[in-house]
Amino acid sequence: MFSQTIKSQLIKQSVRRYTISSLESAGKTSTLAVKVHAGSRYADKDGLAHLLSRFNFQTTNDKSALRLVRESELLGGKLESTLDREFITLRATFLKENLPYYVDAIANVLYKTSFKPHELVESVAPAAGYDLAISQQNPITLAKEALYNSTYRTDLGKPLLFDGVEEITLDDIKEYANKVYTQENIEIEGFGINERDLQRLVSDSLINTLPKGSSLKVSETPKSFSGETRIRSQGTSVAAISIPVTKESIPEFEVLKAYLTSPVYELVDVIDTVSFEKFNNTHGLFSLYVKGSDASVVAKNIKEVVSSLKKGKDISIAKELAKVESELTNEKSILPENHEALKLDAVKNFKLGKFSYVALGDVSKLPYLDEL
Amino acid sequence: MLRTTTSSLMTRRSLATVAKTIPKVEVTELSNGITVASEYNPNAKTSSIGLVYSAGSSAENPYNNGVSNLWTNYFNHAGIQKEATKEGFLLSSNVSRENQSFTINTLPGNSQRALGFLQKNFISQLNSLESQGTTFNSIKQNTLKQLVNFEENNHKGRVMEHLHSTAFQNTPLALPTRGTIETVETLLPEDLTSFANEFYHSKNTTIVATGNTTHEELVKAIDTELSVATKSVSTPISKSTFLGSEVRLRDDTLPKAWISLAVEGESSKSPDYLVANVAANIFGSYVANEPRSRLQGIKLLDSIQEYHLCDSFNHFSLSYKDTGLWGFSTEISNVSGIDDMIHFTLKQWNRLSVSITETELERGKALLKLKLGQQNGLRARNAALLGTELIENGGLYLNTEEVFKKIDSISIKDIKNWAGKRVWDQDIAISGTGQIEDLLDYMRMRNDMSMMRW
Repeated sequence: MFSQTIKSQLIKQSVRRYTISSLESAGKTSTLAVKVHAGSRYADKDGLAHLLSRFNFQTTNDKSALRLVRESELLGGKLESTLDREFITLRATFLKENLPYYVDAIANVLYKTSFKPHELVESVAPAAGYDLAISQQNPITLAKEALYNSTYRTDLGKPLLFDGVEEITLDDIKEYANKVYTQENIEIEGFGINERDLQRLVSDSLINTLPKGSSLKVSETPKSFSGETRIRSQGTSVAAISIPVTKESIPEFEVLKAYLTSPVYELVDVIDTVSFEKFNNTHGLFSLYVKGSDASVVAKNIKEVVSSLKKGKDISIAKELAKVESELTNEKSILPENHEALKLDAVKNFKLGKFSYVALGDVSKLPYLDEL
Repeated sequence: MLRTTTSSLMTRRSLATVAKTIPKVEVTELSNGITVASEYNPNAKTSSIGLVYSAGSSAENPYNNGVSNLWTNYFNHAGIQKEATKEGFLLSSNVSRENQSFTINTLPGNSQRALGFLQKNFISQLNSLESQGTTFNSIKQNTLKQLVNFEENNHKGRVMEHLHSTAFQNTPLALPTRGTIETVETLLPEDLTSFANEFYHSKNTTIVATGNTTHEELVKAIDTELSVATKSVSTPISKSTFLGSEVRLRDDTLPKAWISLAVEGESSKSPDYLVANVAANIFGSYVANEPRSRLQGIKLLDSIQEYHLCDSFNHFSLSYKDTGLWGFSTEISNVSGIDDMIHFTLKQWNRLSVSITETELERGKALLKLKLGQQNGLRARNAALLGTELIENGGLYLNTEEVFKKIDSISIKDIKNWAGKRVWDQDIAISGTGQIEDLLDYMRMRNDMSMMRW
């Protein structure tokens, strides 16, 4: 893996439509990730991406889901399909020598998942329901979901998980799979894999015969709004704000994140979570959460944080830390777009302007957007 | 002091066995007893560098239990964090039963500055805590808050801590790594200082660096920046022993039952270390809500799935200096089926001695290899893992290639022999919390550790 890299070659293959990037290492395990621009922002119906992600590694024309699991565990491999707003990621982690098997396994999923009706009812829907239940237990996740929705309304503002509000049929899922699993819409990442082996195996695999389509990747910053959401619920109260970030201000918000999570910021103790999620390295959403069991304390704290940020802060002290943090995150991905050097020179002062706001929990005690 | 002695006395002695087989991991022992270890990766964009002491909670006693945890919190307190931000350092610290680490993540080329930072803000402060009364109080308050949070929310972790305290009762491994609310409340700055004087000396120190730091750079930086207290004799830590026993923390207000059950496992340098780990991976882990987890080739799942006997389980093989624990943890929402869950699991354990199949063995081996391979990949970001490997396992499992060969050579006979010695008809330690009314009495479970027919 990374630690034992002896020879590292980052190669981008441009002949084919899909992108292959691979980093070789001396370790004994490899990870192969196929990232499909098919996350929730691209879904035609709310929750469609989630169900498709949960359908990955189910029965294909070649193999039943059972056979795939039983074969894979004997080879020493782990398969997972994860979902975020941008990507559905199919990831296999395995012992190095079994690369051909896993290229094949992922290609099979992309090319010819069977979409058996009973699997939707028996495994996909219950598993999706479980994901939703887990995420709804976490007030921060709920607040983040609401922040995305009030900031972007559509596109990134669509719900991440399937919640049953919109009805989705098996045909909808099939149709979505046909739309997103195309040669132009996928990016292949390899860790601990020789790039030539990977290229050869991929071009011999079904990935090479995937239908032609168009890349869905969104590079321009989506239209954003400054909105407010209030959700009454029992238990923990959360007050949170979010700011849409454009490409030029990505460095500034990387530094802001480092600044707000370090004791150099006087209110660090009242902030529960700071998150900065980037999409295709061209835009992103910055969000900040204050949490507590007593809503009046949460109200006081969010007011203090917002007014201190509105006054303006010199955040340049956290530049170095931001650099380290962003390098550590970048190591997890080798897509070229994530390796543009972070230009931190211009970062100096941060002043909070417009933002979206979410109040969750005992909302009667929490402030309104115009009171902040 | 290293600073004064190194120039003349720094005779580098490579650990030949380690150095020969693993070209990438370099280990040097300095004349004053400090071990220096590095794993250099020229392509890494960051470095991880730090100190690992071979003393954790098992070096504590029932009266100062929690001091290591307070030192960890000291390392993370606002004063040091503030300095670290200015330097661009990301700090982390971790206590386990047999070691404790203090590490820094930074950009390459900063090892000198990083060690200087550790010296100034940590090592040189080890004796001056008495004068920092307010800092000490805020650290203590933070620690207590974390402890309350752990006790109230982390049921699985709590059960594992209690499993250790019952299995190793009255011996050092019984002490909880975090300390308890009762002991931490009574601690004074003097307790921390005297613990540091006793254990944070050169013989117990391993200085580690991974990522983009060369061994030479590290040794040179130690030479100029670091001065660690020396001590001629290390305080010995008494031997821990296993005792079959149980602890029940029944709480019917919790939504589920959390149970851990284990036999005595292998010590970290035992020749059967890998056999025990393969055996644990044969049964592996399971999460009822994950469709792929339900399809695994674990025979135990046949019995569990039909009646939803558990929500999840996880088999482990934990190893410490003198002894270990081999067993499983489970989370059960079907609380009237606890007796069945334990019964069927232990009946499967019996099979390790009588009828484990070739396929099951291969599966266990493959999963263990994958786990070890992945763990080795994590070291680049976290140098503490390198230190832990060296301190606990003497670096025996750093060479993945060799370890894989050893795993491959494990046969059904090895598993049967091992299980015959460690599992079949052996005493068990049990710990549980939540709705555990249905957890049978000790002898009923103990009787399941063998069978009259096979």
